[in-house]
Amino acid sequence: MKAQAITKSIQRVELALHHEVEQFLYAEARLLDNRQFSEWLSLISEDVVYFAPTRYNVMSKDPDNEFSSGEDLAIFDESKDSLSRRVKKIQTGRAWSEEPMSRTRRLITNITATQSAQGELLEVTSNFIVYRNHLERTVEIFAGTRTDTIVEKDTHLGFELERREIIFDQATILAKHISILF
Amino acid sequence: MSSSTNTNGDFQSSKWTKEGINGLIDNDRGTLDPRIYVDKDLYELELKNIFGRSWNFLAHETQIPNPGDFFQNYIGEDAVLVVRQADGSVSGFLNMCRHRGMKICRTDCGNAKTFTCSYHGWSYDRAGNLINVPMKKEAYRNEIKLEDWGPPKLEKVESYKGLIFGTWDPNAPSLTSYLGPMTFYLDHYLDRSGEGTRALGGVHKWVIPSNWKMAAEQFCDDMYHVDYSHASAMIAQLPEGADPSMASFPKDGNQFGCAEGHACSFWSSPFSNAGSGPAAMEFIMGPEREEALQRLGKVRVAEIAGMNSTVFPNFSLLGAGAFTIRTWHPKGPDETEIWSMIIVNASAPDGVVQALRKNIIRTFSPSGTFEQDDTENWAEMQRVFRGTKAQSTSLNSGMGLGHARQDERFPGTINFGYAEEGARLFYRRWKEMLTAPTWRDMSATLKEVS
Ligand code: FES
Ligand SMILES: [Fe+2]
Repeated sequence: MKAQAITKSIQRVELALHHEVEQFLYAEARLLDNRQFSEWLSLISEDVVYFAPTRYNVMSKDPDNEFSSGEDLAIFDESKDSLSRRVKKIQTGRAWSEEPMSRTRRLITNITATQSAQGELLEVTSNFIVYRNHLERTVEIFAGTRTDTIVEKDTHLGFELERREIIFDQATILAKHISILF
Repeated sequence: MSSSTNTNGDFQSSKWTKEGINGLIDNDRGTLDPRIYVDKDLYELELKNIFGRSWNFLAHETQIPNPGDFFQNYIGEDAVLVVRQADGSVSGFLNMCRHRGMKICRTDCGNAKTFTCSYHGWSYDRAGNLINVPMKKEAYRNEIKLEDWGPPKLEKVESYKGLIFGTWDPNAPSLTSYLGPMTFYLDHYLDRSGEGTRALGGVHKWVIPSNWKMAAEQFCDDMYHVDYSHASAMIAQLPEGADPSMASFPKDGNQFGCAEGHACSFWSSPFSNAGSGPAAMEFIMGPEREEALQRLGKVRVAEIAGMNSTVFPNFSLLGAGAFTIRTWHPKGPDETEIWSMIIVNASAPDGVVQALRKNIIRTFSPSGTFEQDDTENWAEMQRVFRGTKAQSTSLNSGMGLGHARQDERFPGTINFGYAEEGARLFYRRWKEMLTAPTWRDMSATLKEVS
């Protein structure tokens, strides 16, 4: 698993579609900030791949060693079923990592969208900073980037998430846990 | 030795006396003094007298299979480079350059012929010997004796069934002697298959604002917290439409503790892997169990379907068939860095490994649905103990006190799974190791103590 190299010729999508993609990512982030988890889940494809590798500190001559592979440890390696169970856990009202409720604010930026030759799938990259505040004074900040595959569908936001790879910019996660979604 | 490592138990310079430390843990009444989690002087003593003398987990054999493969780990707060040698043995040495103290190696793992310090360029071989200093002739006039300036090396490095441990203490007993009766239980994880175990790639590392003993102690014996702490995760694992009251942890377990301070609790229903799906369960309940039965016998397979455990002081294991291992690295009295990995049976088919891997990632990891609620509790407890009233108020560690038994099926001291026998014996060892001047002064029968 490796961070996406920047390709020379980016086939950008047309302005109106790009705008819709941006609005989708903003709305999706807002659903999570607002704890509208069931609505968020309805945007997730039944065969979603939702993956976040771990990272090592490596030298620049050894880049292949930096990210864990899909057969190694991961921060997330989720299916629709496991994401649903994460939501179900929070909704029990007894998930102590989220009870009392945390306050989150997701900043989603640097959005680029490209379309595959077949035209169906959109590859969307975005950066994030997620601020999480919990209890009296816990503050956790997660920064990273995401590479999504989304497709136009009749969800309430017009797109469905097929694939999401999340790269956290921390080798040691500076948080007592990751109890939120990205 | 090329450098002086004082491995004698020494608390003369501490504000703590032996009597004071003994009073922190009262196993006759079943009480703990909260200062064990916050006191800076106790923490310094732990680093020196416990981590400086005990056997500490370094790596799994399969993480560093080839000559030059290395993995950087910690013993207490000391960074240690663990390196596979050309002859297949493993060496470990302090990751500190003897010139001014810079880290010799700044990457987490990899393969190297030599390690060169990034400050002034002193370089060391795979065993930690200083082999070159820049401008040796011009600057040092050839007067420096390279052989005198290697970093301290681990005095002993030994493996138990795939797990490599090391100690700074030349007087420490052998690893198997140190593990004592714990090896019987470790085999539940490590010896189920003739092919042994292997580590998956990657390490989970994350930071919790709480004392390392909260985690080490919970993993050594605490089945009691599962129903309440992990209620939400267990409810979420139930099949669609199931009654939430079915989310209940097994109530049939036993618990082991010993004078060496290691402890575990175990249960007989296949709870731990339930979330990994039918294919993995079929393997675990079928051929995997069959081979384990032949190797370990009926008692250890039927009575130990899943197990949480701690090897004193800070190395824990949890699971069955595939399991998580973790080191609770101390980073001050009020901070712990968790390093966890996943170990699987080498005989498990690929599909099964992937299912077990995902189940562990989803339950026990920084994002793990079970683990989240453990770290939440510990972080909050640590803040509670800031108060002086809190620090002078004793805690209850008396569950099952007076009900320990000997059980011919299981070595060590045994109690009902829902007890605090493991924690009491863990803390008994903790205070003993903090205060005993030598291994001879520790009560555990350690045959090979020199
Ligand atoms: S500190 Fe390592 S060479 Fe100077
Ligand atoms: Fe737990």
